[in-house]
Amino acid sequence: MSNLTKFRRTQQWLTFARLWYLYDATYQDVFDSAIVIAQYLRGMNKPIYDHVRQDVGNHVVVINTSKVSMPVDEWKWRMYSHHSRYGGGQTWAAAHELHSKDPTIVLYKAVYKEVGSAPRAVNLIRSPTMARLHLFPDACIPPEIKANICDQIRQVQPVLKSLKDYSEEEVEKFPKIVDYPEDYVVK
Amino acid sequence: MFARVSNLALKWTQNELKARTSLYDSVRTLKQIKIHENEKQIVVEGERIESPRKPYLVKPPPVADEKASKACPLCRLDLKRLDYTDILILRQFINSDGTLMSLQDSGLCGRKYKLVQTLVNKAQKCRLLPRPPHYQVYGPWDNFNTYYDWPPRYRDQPMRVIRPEYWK
Repeated sequence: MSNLTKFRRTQQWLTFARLWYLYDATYQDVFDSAIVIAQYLRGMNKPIYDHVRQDVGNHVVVINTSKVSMPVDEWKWRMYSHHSRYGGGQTWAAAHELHSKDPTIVLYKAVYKEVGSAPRAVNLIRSPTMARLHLFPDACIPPEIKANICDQIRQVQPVLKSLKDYSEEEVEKFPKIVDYPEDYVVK
Repeated sequence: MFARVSNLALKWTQNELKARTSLYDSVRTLKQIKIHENEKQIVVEGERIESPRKPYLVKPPPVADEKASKACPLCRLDLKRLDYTDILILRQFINSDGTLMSLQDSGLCGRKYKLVQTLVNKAQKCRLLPRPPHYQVYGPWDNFNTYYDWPPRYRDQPMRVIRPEYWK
């Protein structure tokens, strides 16, 4: 047996095991959830965190990225730029344009930015870290990925419920504040 | 970062309302348009029906002089932080097609009616309530999921940073 204590050995296991986390992105803010996802990707939730000598990151599986949300009108004015390295090669696109083309790319870019904000050894760690991020536009996950998932990440904000999410009976039996006036035509 | 959209307030107000449910004594009748089609004629008729809201009305808290008080029911209930996420309350002031009831039909005072109007508009912007016909959608960004945050945060302002010729 090794001369590690039980506590220390468990710390080692927890640190060097690559855990798979699930994150449901329905009605979640893109940039807030990117901060949380990036922490789990880089392994900052582990008992021992070393970003210089070790790569202790986790896998994160994100589902429902097409239902991700932003504050009102931010879809319109949030711009993304791309430069092709040719003269006059800079192009601009709004967030809604990117999202309608590929429903995972807005969240990918947000996480990419957050992962890159580490102080050191960024460029060496970034590509293997981003390879551990699995984005899916809907709730369908391939079974070989689904078998690995062991835990889930808490959502950053409560999921809004629309009127369709309530049953008719629930809506009808909810307490009413004002009665209809007389001779009102129910529409 | 956490709990900017207050579902907590939603639960709070809804529970508060459930505690105050009681029966009304007065009988109210209203109309519903029904269309009967025969081979030769179509009859459009306004039938008198009993109010479907009658068994679920809340009793407002008692005041000293009931007859003298002119406050509207929403003022008397005094809900804390009525928000745009309280759609089961806001739904009572819209028709089935999503248009807002008139001030006279809603039975509210002007101030509360204005509040309800802004909250309904917010809920329709976030697609929590059905949008009325001919609701103006300016682009695809109006059909994606959005929310109102309080207090509002401005992460950065690219409209100022980026020159207008690159806006597209």
